[in-house]
Amino acid sequence: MARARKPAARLSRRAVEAMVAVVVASLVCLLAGPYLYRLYQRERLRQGAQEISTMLLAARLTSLKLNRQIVLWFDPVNRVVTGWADDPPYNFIQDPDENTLLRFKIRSGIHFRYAPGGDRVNGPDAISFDGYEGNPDLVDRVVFRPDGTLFAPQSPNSKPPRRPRAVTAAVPFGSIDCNPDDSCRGIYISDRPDGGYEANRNTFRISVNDFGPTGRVTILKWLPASEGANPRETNYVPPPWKWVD
Amino acid sequence: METHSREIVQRRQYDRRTGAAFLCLIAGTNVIPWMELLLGETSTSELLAPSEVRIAVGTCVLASLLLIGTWLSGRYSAIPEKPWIRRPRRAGLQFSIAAAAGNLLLGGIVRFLGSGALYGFPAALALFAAAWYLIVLPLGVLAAFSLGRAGRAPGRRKEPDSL
Repeated sequence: MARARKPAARLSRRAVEAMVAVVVASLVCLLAGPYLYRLYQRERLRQGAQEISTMLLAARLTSLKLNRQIVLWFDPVNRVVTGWADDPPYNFIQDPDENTLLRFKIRSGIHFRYAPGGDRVNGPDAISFDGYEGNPDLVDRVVFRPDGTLFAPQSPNSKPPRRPRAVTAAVPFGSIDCNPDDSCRGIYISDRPDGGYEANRNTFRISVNDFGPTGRVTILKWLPASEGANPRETNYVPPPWKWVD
Repeated sequence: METHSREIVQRRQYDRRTGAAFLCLIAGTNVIPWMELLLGETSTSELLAPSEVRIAVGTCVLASLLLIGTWLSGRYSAIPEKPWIRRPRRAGLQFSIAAAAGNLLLGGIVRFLGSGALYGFPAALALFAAAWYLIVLPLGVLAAFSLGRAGRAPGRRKEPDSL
């Protein structure tokens, strides 16, 4: 007598449908994941730039409101920004009797780093507001006079920027040129801690009073030469920005 | 007779697999234009509002659920004597390719023009959402229903050689 054949194991209809649903959901997550990660990285950097810009504006407004000199000191190692009203003898250092008026923690994931170039994270050009009253040790601080104007830093790396030689579609009105010697003042934040001169990284420059005592705070983004920057210029441009991911 | 019924079962399984693959294609390409729209917004100085991210991600999730639901309804709903989709397999493939192409086209337009470059982001979002909800999503839903129906009524294929 022939032995009855055992029916082949089959997945039930419900199981197949559940599998299809899981596969579709997984595929959607798989495709959306990289997009959302890129979005998160870009937003983190943009948000960091906006926060620093807001801090500068708050410091300027405080100087106007109190009619006192306000110093905003960036501590890139501890990622803290501290602001205080500087009293005579106006030494740009927070003395024990000078209370903290503004305090802000820099979010993680953004790095103080100049672009282009191989300058390291928290390097000397990362926050180029250096040198006051002939003292080169007074670095990484933005100083507003009682009338809200910027107390110009004196170090060679903290000069005011130049206007670009040519205004193009990629370098629109409102852009700056940091040449010669990549020496213009600003607070530079990047999304990547590593990479050399030609590294693909996104870098924002936050600064104030670029072209005169207007008190205007600007957020500009580095435009690599490959993206259309003017020849022999280091251009930082206003939006619309191009990203390198 | 037994061979013939086994053939039909195999065809149905084949059609189900094809249907599932095309369902993945539609759901997968649905993500592209919405995410390109969000990424395009990062070229401006305005930060993305949480509601904008919620709209984009939520739409992708809801569209996937809708596609799966429609696919299931195609599998379970009774086939009328004169169905309005006569060749569900072919219609499913055509609609899915059209939906995927629509998604890729929209994504390409958003990437090329940059979201909000012409009219500002809110207007661009409204235009984009109108195009997607009125054209691409209905195509995807039709495709999903047809693919589900095709799993029940296998398409015409080459008959096996009779011995």
